[in-house]
Amino acid sequence: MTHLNEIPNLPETIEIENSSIDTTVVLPTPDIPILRPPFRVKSLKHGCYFLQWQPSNGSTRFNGTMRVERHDGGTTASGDLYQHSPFKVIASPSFRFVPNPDPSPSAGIPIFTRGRYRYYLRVTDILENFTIANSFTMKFERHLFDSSNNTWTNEGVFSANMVFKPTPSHYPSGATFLEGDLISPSGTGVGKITMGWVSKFLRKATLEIDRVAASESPDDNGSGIDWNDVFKPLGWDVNVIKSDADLSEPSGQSWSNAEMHAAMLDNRDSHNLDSEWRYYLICVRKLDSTSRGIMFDAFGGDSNNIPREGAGISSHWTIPNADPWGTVKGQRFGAADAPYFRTAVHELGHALGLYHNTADNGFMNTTGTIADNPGVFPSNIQWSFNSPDAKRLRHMPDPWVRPGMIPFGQAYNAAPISPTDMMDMQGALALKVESLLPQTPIGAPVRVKVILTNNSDVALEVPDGIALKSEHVIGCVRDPAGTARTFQSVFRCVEEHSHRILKPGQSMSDDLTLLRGNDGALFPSSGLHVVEVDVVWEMDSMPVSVSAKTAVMITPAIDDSHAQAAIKTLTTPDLLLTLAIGGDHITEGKEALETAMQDKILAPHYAVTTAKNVGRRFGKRKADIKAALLACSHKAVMSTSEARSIATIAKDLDVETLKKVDKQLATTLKSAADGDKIVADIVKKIIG
Amino acid sequence: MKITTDNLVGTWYKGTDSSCASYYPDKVILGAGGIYQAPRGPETGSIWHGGDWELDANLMLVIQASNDAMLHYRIVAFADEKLTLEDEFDCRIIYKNKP
Repeated sequence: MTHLNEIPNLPETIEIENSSIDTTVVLPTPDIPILRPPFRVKSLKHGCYFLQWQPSNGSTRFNGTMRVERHDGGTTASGDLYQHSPFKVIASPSFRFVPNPDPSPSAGIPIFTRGRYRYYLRVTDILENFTIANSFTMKFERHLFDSSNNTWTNEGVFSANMVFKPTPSHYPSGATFLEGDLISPSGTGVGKITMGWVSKFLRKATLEIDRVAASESPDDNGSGIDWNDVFKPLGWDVNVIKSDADLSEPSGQSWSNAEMHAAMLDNRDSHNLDSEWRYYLICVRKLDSTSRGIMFDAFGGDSNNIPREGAGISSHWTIPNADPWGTVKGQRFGAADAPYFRTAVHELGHALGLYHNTADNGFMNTTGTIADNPGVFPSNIQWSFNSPDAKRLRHMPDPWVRPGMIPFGQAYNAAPISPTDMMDMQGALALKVESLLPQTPIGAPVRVKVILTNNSDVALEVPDGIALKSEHVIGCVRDPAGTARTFQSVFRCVEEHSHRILKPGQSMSDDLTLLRGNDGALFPSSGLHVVEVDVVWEMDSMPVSVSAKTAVMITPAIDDSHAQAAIKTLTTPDLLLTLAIGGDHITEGKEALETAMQDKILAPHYAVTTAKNVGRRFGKRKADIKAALLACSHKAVMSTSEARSIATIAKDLDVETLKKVDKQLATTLKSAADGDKIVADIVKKIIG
Repeated sequence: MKITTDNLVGTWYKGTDSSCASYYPDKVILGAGGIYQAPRGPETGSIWHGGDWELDANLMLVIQASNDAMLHYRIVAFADEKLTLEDEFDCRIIYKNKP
């Protein structure tokens, strides 16, 4: 029997190397016996898992990878799925189809055919640390990839109760294996999902380095940091192959992008990008289009339409013999190990889909900017990718980072990425979404109010606005069939995001008018829809989010006029711009608005938009405030924000004119924004 | 206004909405030390993200692109607080020194 003073102290953190350990727990009271059998503590190993989803409808399965990154803050995970082809074509000894087996787990991280890519899994819930249960719930948003335009569609949150199972054969020693039934957003079982650990790395690639004889190979920074040191912390297994060292110069010492691209095609050792993520770095004396380095396989330089395969660096650029070039000023670039190697890593970073990042002196900042920054160049170089870039390399979808898929230059926010551990502010901060109307006719915008309340005892930093234009608000609308259509701001803000302080118990609110999103009309059908709203911002540099949802009933068209008008509003993309910014120059939007105003069902829902357009000056056309107020005087549907906008337009009218305005408008304004001072003032003047 | 490096230094806001100009950022800051920034360039897929810039001997604006190519732009007009650039594909981009 063990006594209290013989129990060892537990360590601060528990290092779990294996997926389960036996731990005998002894309770500190002699009267209570030692518990049998022993508890098992389970966790997810850091690394790459072979992922497989077998749909329940019997259709072909999907294979891919799940990357599980264990870090100080918890666990971040992301996955990709490719549709498995049951057969493959071989040409030798004769052209025929043979069965195509699944990749062997013992071979490590599997590589899949680019053309079979289908889904990105943005994991939102996974086992963070440990469990004594034999299972946990995993949730992910499944994003369907459209290769015709390189976009993703969020199909909603899928979930699975993942159960630790005995590891099948062919997996590496000590591998973790899990299995679960996959449940769709609508609650239907859609098959079985398995994931088995295959590597301590998250991704793998090959870098081939070729050079002309006079150029150095960028092997390290001259102070012990080499390619392995750069990529291992990211979880990338990069095999560097120094190949040709005597390339011919096609037209003298300086190379064009086209010449480098041609040399890559002629000289690289292999190029099957469906079985290997292979990048090519060519080292030449000088470059036509720039001084130090270029990722030539982009824009017009991608002559074979297979992007981001290669980059080039120049060894014979002379570093200016002046400040701010520090201890390497005046040197030939290839002889200055540190900046030369840095440039090579930087250009490979572009091939991996990364853009310039001036947040720190990490790899994706530019050489000139780093030299200009405080500190003595090159000792002020930061020999790592900065955190957001590191996360991109670990967790952006395969098509973004692997060569030969998404071209360089697309906006980062066009692609999904798993959240890092977000601070869960639910409880401390409450978000509520309320629909303005219990039902909305098809073809009309849906108005919802978003209310953020600080339920904690401390003041919290929140966005200074939660309207769509603030860019902190994103969301999706799920139709009766479960299809999700996302929305976000139409604006690209040129100023930095600003925050405000919300005191304990204080609330802030704003209104969203939802019509169209990234995938077109948000409410293209009748029936019960669910509007989900996320407000996302940073608090103390940590990403924070709060979410809420509400149901909205869309009623069908009641007659031909309504149906025709609804078709117009649902199929005119520019109507969204007219709604958001107005102006006579958006002719198609203006035409759709006029069509809606001619229909008695839709007119009240577009009256405020009409009023805002007419009530503001545009070019040589003067504002017609009387017409604006007339447009929304017949039971117009308006949110609090819209009531405030109308009141702001109206305040330029004199009192006598306001007294002549339809009293119904006063009722509508008061109902929409009771308590608002600007609105109350106008209401008072209208009533007289 | 005379085209000089000093006169180009400052913050410029895009003032054109032509489709070809959509590849350029809404805001670009040309710094005095030959370094420029384009806030949110990577988030919006623009061709300028940040890096080196200079006015070359032919009075062309040379600016480091997102893939590190040094792109040359003809300065078509520089007056009335507006800077009009033309790229190699004849796309005209207008920047103003006020938002």
